[in-house]
Amino acid sequence: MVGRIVWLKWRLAAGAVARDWRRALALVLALVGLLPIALLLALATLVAYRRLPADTARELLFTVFFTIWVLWLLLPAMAVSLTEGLSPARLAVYPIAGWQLLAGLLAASAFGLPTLLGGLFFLAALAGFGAGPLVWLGVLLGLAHVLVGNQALVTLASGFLRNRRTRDLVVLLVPLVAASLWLMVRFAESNPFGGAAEGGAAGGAEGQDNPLLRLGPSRFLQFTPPGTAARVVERGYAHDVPAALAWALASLAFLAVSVALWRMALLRAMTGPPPSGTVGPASGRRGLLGARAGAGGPVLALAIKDLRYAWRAPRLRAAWASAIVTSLVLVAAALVRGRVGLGPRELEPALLLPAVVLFGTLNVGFNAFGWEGHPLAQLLAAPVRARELLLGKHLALAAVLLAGVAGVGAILAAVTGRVGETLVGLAATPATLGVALAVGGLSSALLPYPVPDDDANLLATSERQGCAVALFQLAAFAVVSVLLVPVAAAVAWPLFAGRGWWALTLPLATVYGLAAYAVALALTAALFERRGPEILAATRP
Amino acid sequence: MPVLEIHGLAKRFGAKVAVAGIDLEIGPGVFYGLVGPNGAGKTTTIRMSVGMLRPDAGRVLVDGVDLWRDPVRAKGRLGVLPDTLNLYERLTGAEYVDFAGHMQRLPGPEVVRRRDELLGVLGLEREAGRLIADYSQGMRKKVALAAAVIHSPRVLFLDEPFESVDPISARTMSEVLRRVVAGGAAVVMTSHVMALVERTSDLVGVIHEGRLVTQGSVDGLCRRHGVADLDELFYRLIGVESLAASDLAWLAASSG
Repeated sequence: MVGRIVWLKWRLAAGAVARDWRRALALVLALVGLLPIALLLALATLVAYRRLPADTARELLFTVFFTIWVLWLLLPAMAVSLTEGLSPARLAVYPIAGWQLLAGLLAASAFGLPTLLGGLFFLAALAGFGAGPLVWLGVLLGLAHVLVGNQALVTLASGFLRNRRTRDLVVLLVPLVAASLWLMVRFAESNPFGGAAEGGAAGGAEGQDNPLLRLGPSRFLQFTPPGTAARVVERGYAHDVPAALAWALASLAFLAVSVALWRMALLRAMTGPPPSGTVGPASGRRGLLGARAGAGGPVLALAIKDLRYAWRAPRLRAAWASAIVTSLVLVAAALVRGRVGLGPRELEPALLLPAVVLFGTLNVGFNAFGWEGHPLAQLLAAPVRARELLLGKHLALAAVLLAGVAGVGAILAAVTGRVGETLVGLAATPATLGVALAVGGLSSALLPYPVPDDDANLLATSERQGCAVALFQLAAFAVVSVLLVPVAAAVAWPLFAGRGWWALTLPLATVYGLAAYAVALALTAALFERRGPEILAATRP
Repeated sequence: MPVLEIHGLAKRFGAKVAVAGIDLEIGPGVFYGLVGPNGAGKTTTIRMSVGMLRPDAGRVLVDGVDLWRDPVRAKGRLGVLPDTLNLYERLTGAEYVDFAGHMQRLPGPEVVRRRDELLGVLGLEREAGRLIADYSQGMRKKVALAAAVIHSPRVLFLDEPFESVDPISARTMSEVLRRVVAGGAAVVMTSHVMALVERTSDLVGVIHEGRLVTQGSVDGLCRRHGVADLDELFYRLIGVESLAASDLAWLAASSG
């Protein structure tokens, strides 16, 4: 029966790849892209285990085991499944014993890209610490904790994860994980091993003062499930058999508790009622946008709908969150460059704000119809001119962007103290917005692609979002960059020729941006009116 | 004068002919039931008739306006309740019906009046402030119906409107539809429930392999084909094969 479950997982995965060459290509690209990185990182840990002083190698081992465990616990929240397509509820109709189901799911979760990538780090630990019997035991326990922990959490939190409110909160998780990874990279760059001397796990060298050793994570991590496994490896390598066995017992106890919790949750999930996923009525929520019908007209109705969606739809919210994070990173990077003399400081606010507008429009503005999703069919069935449709969508986009740019502008002015240049940057925003929306509109009509409507997986991309789309996006970005040269010149030139010129260049830039928008709007509207059903077909998730 | 005219409507997906030239004329105040087996071309016909799918050939006139030549004017006379409810899940029921009213260019106060009345009649007033994402399937059908009729369309297309709807809600929806027909609009409904089609429709069309194989009143069709009801007529026109006595004989014995 266990073999059957593994076979089913394999068939489901293979069938999904065989059915669509793009998925096969995506798998190959993931293997080509991620496998070498994981391999390099795992090799780096292996070298570190062998070459670093024993204390530092030990701390690194605990950190690696714990990090992998935490990342694998986060996978379900990021909607990355180790048992893709294998639903215990669907298996519930068959005469399968509880233990068979557990073993089957566990075995099935061991076959897959995430486990392959994580497994490399366990192999590195095995090789780095000598592969003795106790080291083997510790590494296997570490791997078991990762897989059981992942599966137990998936089952325990299955209802919770399907809850709409939770899915909304997951939006916050994505930038948090990204920020954590960034911090880890910064930590790694800070030379945490402090120019470690030769010695290796076997070296026994002491006294290297480095951040990792000072932090001493093993003191705390040893009381976590992966920490107990790391302790088995470390003690096993030191031939401290009694201690290694004692820690192995502790590790097994953790594992037994995890398995028991998983089993309990699995049985309950298979026989209990489906999660409601609902929340209380939203009738009390009548904010600025949720009030009465108000002024009418398709343009305003669409703009209001899009503004509501900008906040309520998790995917859109994630898109906006990533645009904000990108903007802030852009601003921070430019400020740092300016401080160390790599960039002209006086240009910072004036040129950064238009750049924020550009990056803000890239995601949503360049595939406006794709982001509409299934309900685009309704817009197509409504008596609305394409021009009105685009104006409504762009109005909402402009409102969100202008609010964001105003916020970034306030931060810039406060940090740099250059209020004048910040105001110039803000004044250049309409021109930038006009050009960006112009190209974005044309891009939306010429190469629309579907945006997956799976709110539970904000990182999911469509099968049709292939290389052609990526190349087209690059081309669109190149076009918009070229078209923005006059706007950039209008902002930058007066810095050298005399600031009084801004009085002329900024209005000219605005006229240029609005003219570009007007021309593109007419072209895009004509395209949409001619290709409406085709755009609908192309954007169906 | 018919409010809906379909002439030679055809669509092919690769080698598969989905709709092979359909002609149809429906007058005002007519409830038209379109029945056919799965894959017969019902949904494709509706999608082409409301502007969601471009036909390979043929014309659709809504109240005399060519849908594909003057889509904005024609769509102002159309209402649609598609089978896959492409609703804006992140709007509340009230916001969604508001949105539909504004997209149909109704004045703001009129939108509010009609919205409140529709949601009240359909029993959704208490749920009007909840997001559609939290609605049951029946509630979603009802709110979609409210959005489809808020502008008093001349032609209303309904694709499987009663699927997953409880009997009480179905009755309410039927009453709303009768009111639409009484107002002089034409309603075109697809359904697999023959009894429902027989009960509600003035005229019935049977579609099979992309062609309209027959149409007329239920009584007239039954008389013409010598059958008792629409169920029997459907089976006769489409053709079904019964199981032979020897087929699946092992099912007679339990596995226990």
